[in-house]
Amino acid sequence: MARSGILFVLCAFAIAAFTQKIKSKSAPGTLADSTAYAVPENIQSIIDKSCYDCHNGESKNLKAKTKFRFDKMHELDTKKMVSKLDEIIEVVDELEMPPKKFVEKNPDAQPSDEEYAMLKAWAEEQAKLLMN
Amino acid sequence: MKKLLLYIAGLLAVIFIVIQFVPSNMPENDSDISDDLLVTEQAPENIKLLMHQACYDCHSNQTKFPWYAKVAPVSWLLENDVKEGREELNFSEWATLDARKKIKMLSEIGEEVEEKKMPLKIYTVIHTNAALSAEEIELINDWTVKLSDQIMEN
Repeated sequence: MARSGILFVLCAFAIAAFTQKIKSKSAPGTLADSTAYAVPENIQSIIDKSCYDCHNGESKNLKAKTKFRFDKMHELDTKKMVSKLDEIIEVVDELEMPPKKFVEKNPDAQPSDEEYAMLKAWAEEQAKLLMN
Repeated sequence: MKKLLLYIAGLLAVIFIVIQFVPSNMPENDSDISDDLLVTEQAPENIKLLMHQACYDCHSNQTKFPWYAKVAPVSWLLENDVKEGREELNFSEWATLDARKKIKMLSEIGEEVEEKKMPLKIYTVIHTNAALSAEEIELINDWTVKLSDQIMEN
């Protein structure tokens, strides 16, 4: 079960990466806007562990994926990206995410204080880069 | 049968009177507009008018309370909506937000208005002039995008 889950996430990433590549080829204009958006590995692993299960296009959680999709971040224009990063900072500040109920069922998804801080610092830095 | 109906009506009337004595906690207005969105960003007159009509009753400290705002249970609904609206986004405190928040809020204004989530249906049913036409939605949207671009550049 867990293995197929991981496989699924990997596939989703591969597809996302692939479509991104096609997109950047066909629309070089949008690429320039988003070159500053980068997710280092340590941040990506926090996102994978704590956020991605619900916040991706294939998620069954309609509300979660309507509100925020990590697999779509690259496609957003700069302003939307800044907005989404601000949202990350907000939910981290208020410890809104991941939802308590989700953590009860998936205790591993709970980020540590340090991971929360890392995620926030990254989002702040990204937003700053994008706004310059 | 008639007696029963009368009894129920009487009971409802008593309940109605009693609930008027529940202490209200209506958010207060503040006439200070020095940090206001439309003032500080020098919004054009048509945007000012539109947003005052469609948004400002809940999303600013200048709520125009109607006479029934004091009558329970409507007052409870109003109190809740105004409180929540101001908490989520208060245009009277615009200038106190940092650039990142401003960009997020502008993007959200555009989204909410375009997806017709705002203004709330329950509000436009009564305040019919608050309902936005497709053209007005576009006006607001264009203005928020323009303002957001300006903030990004600074």
